[in-house]
Amino acid sequence: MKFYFFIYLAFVIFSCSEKKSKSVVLAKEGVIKYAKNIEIIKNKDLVLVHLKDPETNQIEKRFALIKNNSIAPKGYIKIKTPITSIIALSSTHIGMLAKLNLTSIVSGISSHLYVHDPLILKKYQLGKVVEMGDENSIPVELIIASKSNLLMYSGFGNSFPHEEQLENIGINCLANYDWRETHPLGKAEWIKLFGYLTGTEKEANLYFTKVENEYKKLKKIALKVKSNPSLFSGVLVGDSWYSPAGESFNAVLFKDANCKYIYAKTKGTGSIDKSFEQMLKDNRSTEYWFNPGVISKKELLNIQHKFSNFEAFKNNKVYSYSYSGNEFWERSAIEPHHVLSDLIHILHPEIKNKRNYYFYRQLK
Amino acid sequence: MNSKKKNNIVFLFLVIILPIIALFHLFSGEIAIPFSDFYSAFTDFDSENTNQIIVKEFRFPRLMMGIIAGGGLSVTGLLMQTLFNNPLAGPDVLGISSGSSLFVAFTLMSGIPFFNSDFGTIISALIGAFAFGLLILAFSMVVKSHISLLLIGIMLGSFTGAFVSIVQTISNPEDLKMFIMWAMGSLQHVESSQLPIIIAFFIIGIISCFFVVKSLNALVLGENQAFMLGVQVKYIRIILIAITAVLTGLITAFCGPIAFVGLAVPNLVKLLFKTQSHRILLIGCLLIGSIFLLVCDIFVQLLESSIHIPINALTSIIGAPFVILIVLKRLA
Repeated sequence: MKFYFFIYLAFVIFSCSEKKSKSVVLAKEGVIKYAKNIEIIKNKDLVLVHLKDPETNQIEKRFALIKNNSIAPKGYIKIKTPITSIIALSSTHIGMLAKLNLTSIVSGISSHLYVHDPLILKKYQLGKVVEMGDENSIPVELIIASKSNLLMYSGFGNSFPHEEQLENIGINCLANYDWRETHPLGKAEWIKLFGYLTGTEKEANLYFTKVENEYKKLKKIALKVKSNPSLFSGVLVGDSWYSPAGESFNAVLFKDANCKYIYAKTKGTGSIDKSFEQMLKDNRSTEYWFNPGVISKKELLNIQHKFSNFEAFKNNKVYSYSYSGNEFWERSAIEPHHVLSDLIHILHPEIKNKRNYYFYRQLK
Repeated sequence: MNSKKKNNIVFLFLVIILPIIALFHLFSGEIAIPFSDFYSAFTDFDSENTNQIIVKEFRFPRLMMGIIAGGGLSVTGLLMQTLFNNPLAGPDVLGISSGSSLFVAFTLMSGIPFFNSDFGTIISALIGAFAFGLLILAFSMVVKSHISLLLIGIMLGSFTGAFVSIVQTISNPEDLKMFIMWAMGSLQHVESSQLPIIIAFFIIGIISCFFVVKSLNALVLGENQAFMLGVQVKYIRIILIAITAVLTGLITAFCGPIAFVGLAVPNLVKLLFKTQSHRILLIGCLLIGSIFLLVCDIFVQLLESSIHIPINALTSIIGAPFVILIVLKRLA
């Protein structure tokens, strides 16, 4: 990995002007270990960020995070750091900023309905945080009026509307593909980007190392347990049941929690859809049902009375994070060790632990 | 061959083909289930046998709902087309289905727990269908032109559509998800325990239609002629809209909005039978409507492993070109 970075940097050196390349020559190794959709290359004077297209894994955009007034290397978009005001359109962005105690710099969100963070909600009520709406239909004037330095969006397949014009007036648009990461630690690692953007890289790196160690420790504990309970996940949407695909973020969590996920061997990093009949055939006797998207068995029966045919439903082994959905979406990406901890303690009750769950609750 | 004989042959064909399609529908699906499990599911049900559960709890209610929804919507389409003397009328065109959708949207996204239940959805759909049925009836008292009334129906549809869009944008994501799921339309949400009540309402609605067959036959000649023949046009209007509201509300509540069946099937029946007798047309609608929706649902199930198409989309895909064909044929 390191070797490739050096090769890549050598290429950058040749493509840059003499003056600019000087700073890149001194480049150190990449700082990303798990995330697949981002590269961060740290240097004395600047930090290079390469965003990769999650589909092709090719670099689609290059940013240079620069603290002073120097010019960005050729082919790089300059972001002057530390940023002081950010429009954060996804819950995970808010969660990561909250971990770095930086929610005070949030100036815009997509909708207050998706926010859990009390400080941001308070700021929203006071009119200090603006609700922007869906990322594909935000009025440009609203973005300009917010006087933010950076707009961070999820990039559901497209570049941000009016991106060039916004960059010309000093508002950088940066896609955050944390939601396309397939490893829980890869998702959490995006906190490093926030660190470099806001000048809190030390805190971000420290936090990530702590999460990484904790996650690995929990995984080891789970692997030592002899039981290997079976589980299925998701819920019926229309006529299709969407379950995490075998190479997805959730499937990795299930694997690390040492359980038998029924679709662990399926291909893909997103979700697989099955008919209700097929789900019942495959999972009628499966022990646990996770993430049904509701908070009570009554609600499940309201959606579909036929759910009562699952043994997991009959035996009260249905678990959901939806009791506080917004909190889960904000925190779970940056606290994968807590998600794993919940899974392990639900699936392996033989591990004695009296602690309450972080996100999950049993459906009653 | 005289038309009576020809009609009898068509009826015979439909009566034979419906059980065959129904059987094929029962056997279609991703999972191959042996015949013995089908048989046992109805004769000696074993609640521990997954195949038998699938047959009894999934496939049979789905089949029954296909027959009821296909037949019911086709009949309501015929009633509306006769009442408004317009081949392009139907519960979805006149805004009755849209009324159901609007009320379901309002209630599902209101956040009130009662309306997030099946019963709440059914009540909302019925109220919506009745309210908009009565509204179109009120307009029909004032507006004499059938084309104008049809236009009002279409406007009501657009009006409710706009409201539904607004409600969608301001509702919370969970309630929105519930509504979107409902709006996709599906035959598989019906449960075996709900079938008796659905069948009871369906039978009452259909039997009521046969009580007004003579009036329907007279209405084909126009309201004035019907009045001259002794038809109490005002009352018949109310009865027809009430039947339409009950059947449309019932089907929309359990299956979500299903487009085009009520519009396309009655026209196909009229083309096939070439008669003004509503006794024949009603039976034709029941048979062909059921067959049409079951065939659509078989396609939905066959394609399920590769692509999921909501039934509402498939009926439109098949129904829309058919309506265009009718319009072109009439122009020719």
